[in-house]
Amino acid sequence: MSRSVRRAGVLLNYGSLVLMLVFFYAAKQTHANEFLIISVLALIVTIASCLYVHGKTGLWRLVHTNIENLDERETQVVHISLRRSYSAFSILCLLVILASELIEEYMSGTINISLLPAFACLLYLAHTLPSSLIAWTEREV
Amino acid sequence: MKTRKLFNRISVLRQERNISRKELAKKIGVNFQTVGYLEREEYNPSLDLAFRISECFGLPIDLVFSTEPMRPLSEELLDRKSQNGK
Repeated sequence: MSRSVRRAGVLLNYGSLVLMLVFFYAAKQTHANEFLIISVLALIVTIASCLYVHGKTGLWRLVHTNIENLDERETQVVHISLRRSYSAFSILCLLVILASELIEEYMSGTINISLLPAFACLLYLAHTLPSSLIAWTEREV
Repeated sequence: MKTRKLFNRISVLRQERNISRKELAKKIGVNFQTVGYLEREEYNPSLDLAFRISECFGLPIDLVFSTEPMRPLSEELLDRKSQNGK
């Protein structure tokens, strides 16, 4: 499978995932069956594209295999991929937490900063966890 | 860290010995796709893997890998012979 096909598959996969979520929450708010149907269709596309991009290519197996069973090039590829994914996932999670808090405050019309310390701590944790692990495991740095 | 490109003769040596990428991969303990990356010089092997590859072909490591673009093996061997003769 060529890289352009894989990239298209990844975009389709995440696009349909976002679409599924958007229409699911829209259906929940409006109780419109059309939105629910679109959400289910998007879910089917998500599953199909996931099987195609991650399953058929063997990439799912590659990133889920024990590191001891990979060769040095595969280890390097997975390491770089995990490093980038960790950054992206941390930022995404923190943004979701912050956005949900801000939306909730906007809806209720009250200013409540209860989640902000937790947000700050999570942000701090995301930045310091890798170096903490090195501090914990390495003999010399 | 930026690393310099390593050149190698893996493809020539493998074809000379009539072995497939899969067979070579099995002998040196890597995925067969990694052999492709090595042959296209898109991946620099670790010292351990470089030694395993050289041992597999029964050649000194400097005849298989180089930091300079590689000349045909016959030329290299002739050079070495003439240097030893002097």
